[in-house]
Amino acid sequence: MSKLELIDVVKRFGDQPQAVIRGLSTSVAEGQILVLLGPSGCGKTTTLQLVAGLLAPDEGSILVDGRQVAGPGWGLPPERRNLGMVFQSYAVWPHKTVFENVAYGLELRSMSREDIRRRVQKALDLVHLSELGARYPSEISGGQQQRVALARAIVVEPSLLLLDEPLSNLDATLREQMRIELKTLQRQLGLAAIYVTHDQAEAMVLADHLVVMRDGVIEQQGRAEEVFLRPRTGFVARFLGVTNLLKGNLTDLASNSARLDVPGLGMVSAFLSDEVASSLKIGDAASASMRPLELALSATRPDAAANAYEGKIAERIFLGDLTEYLVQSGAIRWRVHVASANRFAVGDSAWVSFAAEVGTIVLES
Amino acid sequence: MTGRPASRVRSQEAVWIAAALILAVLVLLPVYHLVVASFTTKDGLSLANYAQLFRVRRFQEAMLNSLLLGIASSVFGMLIGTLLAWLVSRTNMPYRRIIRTCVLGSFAVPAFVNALSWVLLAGPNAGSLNQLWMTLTGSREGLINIFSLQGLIAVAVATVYPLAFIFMHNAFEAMDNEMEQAARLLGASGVRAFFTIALPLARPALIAGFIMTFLEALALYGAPAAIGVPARVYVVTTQIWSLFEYPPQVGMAAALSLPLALVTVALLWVQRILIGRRGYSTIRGKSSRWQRADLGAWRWVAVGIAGVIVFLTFVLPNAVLVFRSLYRESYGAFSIGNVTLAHYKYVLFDYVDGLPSIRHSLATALAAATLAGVLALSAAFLSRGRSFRFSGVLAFLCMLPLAIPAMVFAVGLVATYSGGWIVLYGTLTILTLAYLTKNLPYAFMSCNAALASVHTDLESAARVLGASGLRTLRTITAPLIRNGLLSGWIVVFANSLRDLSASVLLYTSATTVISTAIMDVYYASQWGAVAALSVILLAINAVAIILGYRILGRNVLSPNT
Repeated sequence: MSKLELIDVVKRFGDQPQAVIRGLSTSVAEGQILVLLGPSGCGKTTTLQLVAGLLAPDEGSILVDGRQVAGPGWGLPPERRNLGMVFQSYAVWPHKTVFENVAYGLELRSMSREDIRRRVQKALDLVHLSELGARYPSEISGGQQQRVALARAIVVEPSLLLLDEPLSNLDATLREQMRIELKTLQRQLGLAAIYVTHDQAEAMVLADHLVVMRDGVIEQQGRAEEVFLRPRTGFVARFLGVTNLLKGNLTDLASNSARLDVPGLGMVSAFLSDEVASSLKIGDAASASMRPLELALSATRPDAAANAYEGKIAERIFLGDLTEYLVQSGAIRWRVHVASANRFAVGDSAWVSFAAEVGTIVLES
Repeated sequence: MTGRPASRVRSQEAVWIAAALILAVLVLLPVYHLVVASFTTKDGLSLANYAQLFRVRRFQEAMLNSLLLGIASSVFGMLIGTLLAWLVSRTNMPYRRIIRTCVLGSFAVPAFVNALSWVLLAGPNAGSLNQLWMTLTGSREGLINIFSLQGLIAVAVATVYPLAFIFMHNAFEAMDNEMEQAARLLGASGVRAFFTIALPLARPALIAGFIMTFLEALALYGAPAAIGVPARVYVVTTQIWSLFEYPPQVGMAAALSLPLALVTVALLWVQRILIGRRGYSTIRGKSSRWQRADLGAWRWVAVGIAGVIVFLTFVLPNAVLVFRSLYRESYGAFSIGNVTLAHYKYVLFDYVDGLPSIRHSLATALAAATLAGVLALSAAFLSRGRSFRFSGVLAFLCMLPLAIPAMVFAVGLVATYSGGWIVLYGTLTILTLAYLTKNLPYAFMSCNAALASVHTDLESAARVLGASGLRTLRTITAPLIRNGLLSGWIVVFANSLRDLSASVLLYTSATTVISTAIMDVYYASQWGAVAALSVILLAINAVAIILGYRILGRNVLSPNT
């Protein structure tokens, strides 16, 4: 059984003509992290608030552990859903000590003092704050406050953990470290979780199931690798990382492959998923997406490649392990990432090439 | 920080010393003379004045009444203020904005005008409400008698509750929604989350609210004079005033004043201790949609209660003021023929103190606001960056008057300038000094906040591009702090205009100001003139604030642009 199910959920805000969430359906399996990824204003935080019970949906229904908690125009109040939530601001109460913060939820469940002490201590151990129980939030660092918020959310053993951009206020190093810790902790406790973020790197690390949102609808969902390697739309391809996105018109359609006529460049052969194929026919506008790292750069025309284009090196940008070359072929400027040992100079001629399965045909958006 | 050119430091030090001297004369000298006078009798230095405090019954009664008035006003004021603040900032009560505007509007009405309005409404004979009651029922007696201790407390509560509202409203607005949401998700009901999270988080505002409303009520003069005295209910401020009746007993007045100042200092200190240490500032979440508590059908009950409160404390008193200023003194049913401009004509042209008092008020308020602005700006500039060992001294001197009630300060001014080398008693200068010094803290806070908002990098950027220090000041700093400076100026101007409690000790028949003129016609029972002069005062006040809005674009009361 899914820990959480959202079925055709619609949410409008009073005065705005367009709904903020427009028919959203997804589910979270036992012990898995679902990541809601999207730019600001896409409705991901609103979705989380609908799950939390801070908002009620206008249409559709929400089920936690198979029990309906919200339907059109109604919802159980948040305190009756047994959820844990970590807020972007942490919302650690400044007038309570670390211990009191974590103990709050247990006190509401009228446990014995001894039980509370034991469970709070265990939760603090889990987030490596065993020693700081007596401190006030103003006396600990932002990263530590973050852990208090986490301990406070998991100590009540919620059905589902909700995380609203919890790492966005931390500095880069701490953020990367916390990502891994969060994942480890979640595995350890076997907790199902929803994680909202606009950071694609964070999403990749954490997601068992990745949901990319845009303008209140799900643009694509699936395993993180799947979504990264086989984006459905140009938006998803761009949002998940640097890509070469070429616009053109379909000239051939076969099972799992297609050819695109790109103006100013020529024909491009690429992979075509069944799902994308179902909404396209020959002559339609579409794009092909190729990640820079999957393109090859060579001085002479490679023999075997399905796609090869001659060009001139316009710019060379040293990135450390990799070097980025901007290669101009006709109207197209490629971005190619190659190992830094591979050297071309600005002005050199070079060939950009890739196999047909490297590119993905995506819907324009 | 790198060093500055030596000559500049030296000239800055000279300016610093000059500013410190001026401030010391303004602030410390009257306090010094106040203390000395309290220990002085005609037989030389003694504790006789203080002994009187314990011996004379009416002084003890006055102190007890002041305490009672302070406690009652602060308890009821906080209850009403907190309730309204919560309804306005945290619930879906309808017409929230109108309620909020009315509460804040009460701030523009001087406390003593509010008290006089209530006499015009509920005075036993002249009160409009009572006249209406008698007309409707044929009764020979009015409905309410404002001249009572209860009447005084009610008017004081109406005067101080907007202050409580401001503190609590700001606290509720600043509080992150997510703080309460976190409690809800852990299983707390809305009510429980409010009492265990929201209210404790507002603790600093609760403490500040209780203390500031108490001190405000303690320092009230207009209401106790207009309502308390006819009811034979005396408080400390009205007793101090009566000690200035011929022959003036300045020493005794000083001895009665000092406890008032000491209580104020002590409470401000307690407030610091209580609020201290624990940091309450937290990282704000994203501005998620504000979730207001849904009151359901109760929201109509809520707006009913809130509406009655603002109607009674703001709408009705000001309406009666306007009405009485335009209506001939008469009993019986309303008649359109009784509408008249006679009261305005009287106070502007026939009443001997009318026009002069308006002229005096404007002149002293303008001078006080301008001088306070210049002094506060200099002090703020010199305290900036803390380049000297004693740079905190200027800030301390500027803020000190906050701890001295206006009337107490006026006693100090009388003690300082009515004998000895410089005699200023009976001049407009002494009034200006009182307004200027009492309002220095507000001017200083505006300037300081405005300067603090100008990051030194902004000035450094101009210097690096080749601008001289003076040019930087003129083209970068000055435009950036202009709004803060102007809003400070308006606050001092408006406060000076509305002062009664200092003026009443400092004015003479040659130096009446609007507030004292209003009290004079009040004692003469010229109700129409009271109303007309009050309306004129409110109008000048409103014009200043509206002009401020026009120039500053809504930032009149917040120094940061």
